[in-house]
Amino acid sequence: MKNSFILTFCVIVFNSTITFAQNTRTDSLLMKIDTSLTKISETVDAIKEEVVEEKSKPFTGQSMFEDSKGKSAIFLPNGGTFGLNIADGSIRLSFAQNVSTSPIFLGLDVSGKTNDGVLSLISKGNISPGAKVNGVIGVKELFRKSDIFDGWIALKAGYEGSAFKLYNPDSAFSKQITKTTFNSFVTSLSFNLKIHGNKLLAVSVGYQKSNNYSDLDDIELIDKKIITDSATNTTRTYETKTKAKVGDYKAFQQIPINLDYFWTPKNLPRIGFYHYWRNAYSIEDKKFTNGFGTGIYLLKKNHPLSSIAGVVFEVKDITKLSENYGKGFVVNIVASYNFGFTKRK
Amino acid sequence: MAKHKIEVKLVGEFTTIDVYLEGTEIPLREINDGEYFKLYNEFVIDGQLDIHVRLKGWIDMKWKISIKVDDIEVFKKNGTFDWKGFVTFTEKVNI
Repeated sequence: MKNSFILTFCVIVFNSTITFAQNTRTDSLLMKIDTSLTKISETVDAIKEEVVEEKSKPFTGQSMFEDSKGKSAIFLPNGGTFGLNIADGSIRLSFAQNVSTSPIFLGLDVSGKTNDGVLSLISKGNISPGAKVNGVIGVKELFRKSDIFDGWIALKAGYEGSAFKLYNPDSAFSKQITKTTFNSFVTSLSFNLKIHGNKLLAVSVGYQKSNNYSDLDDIELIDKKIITDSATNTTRTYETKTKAKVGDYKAFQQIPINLDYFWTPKNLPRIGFYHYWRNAYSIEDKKFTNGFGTGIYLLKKNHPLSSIAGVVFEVKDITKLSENYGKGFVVNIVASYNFGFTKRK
Repeated sequence: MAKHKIEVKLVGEFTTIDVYLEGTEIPLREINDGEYFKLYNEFVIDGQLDIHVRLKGWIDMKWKISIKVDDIEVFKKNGTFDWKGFVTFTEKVNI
């Protein structure tokens, strides 16, 4: 009896020891898994933060003969252009046509845009609309007797308008988000000089109201509401997202001066180079802003004014380039479609 | 001197068009995209038809001109602009 008791005791102790050892190993394994999962979670969070930070647009797009804001001194007096400017978030349709057989031409330049770019439209479906409409009248064949030069002038006049939301955290809660409209009469006079068959130099001077919308910071506001149904004791939560800009919004009068130069090498007509300088004088601030860009295009065979593809490097504001190199430097991809508009027989 | 039906057709994209027949400037009208045309039902030709053409356009662009007298093509010429973007020629054609 005594022996059997001792034997039973030994068995219980042995089993308990094994169980204890197994439990210790399991706990240790679980601890390791937990630590690994925590590390994975931290890593994923870090990657997520990096991805969110890199959401800014490193590559955007624009039409041939214009900068990322759709500005250009070049206006072709024949045919038309349909272009998608991804950088400016605009779709542009422009055409010009001769008045009978005279050197006078009339044209129209219409574009619809989102202030936040097409990328924002695709990614968030939350846009601030805008529109530009310009009528054009011009005279071509300015150097008819010259064998080298050709030139034309074009006067553009029109309207630009847009609507967007501004956020002011210092205002009363109900007045923090304000819908703002921007309207401007736009006019410009451009002179285009064609030198031989492979160079085009253009300069334009204009007047328009402008704003610092693109310099303001993007912000996404989320309003959350909770509704509780006392009958079923159910709580329902919903949220509305509003995209707005935050910062010191300013509208000002501006005299933009654009200088554009397009050329193709003599023996390589399929390659085009485009350089532009953008200068704007703010009447209120009495300050100049300067930007520039340069691009290279692969042109269509026998159509040197149409590009298949291109890439443009742009510095929007030279002063901001020194402050933040990455923000002031933009790489744009070019895509455009040229078409004819005449049909009268 | 005799009166003839004349048709002038020019195809291409140009920044300057100067077409002269018998010393008279022909005001070509764009009837289609890149297609210019002028018809005279009674155009006076003295002996041979004098043609003088000056065109300015863009590098690598093709151009083509054809002239019909009394519905018969009497002259045609085509080419591609080089980097100079300028073409000029003077021809005399027997009618």
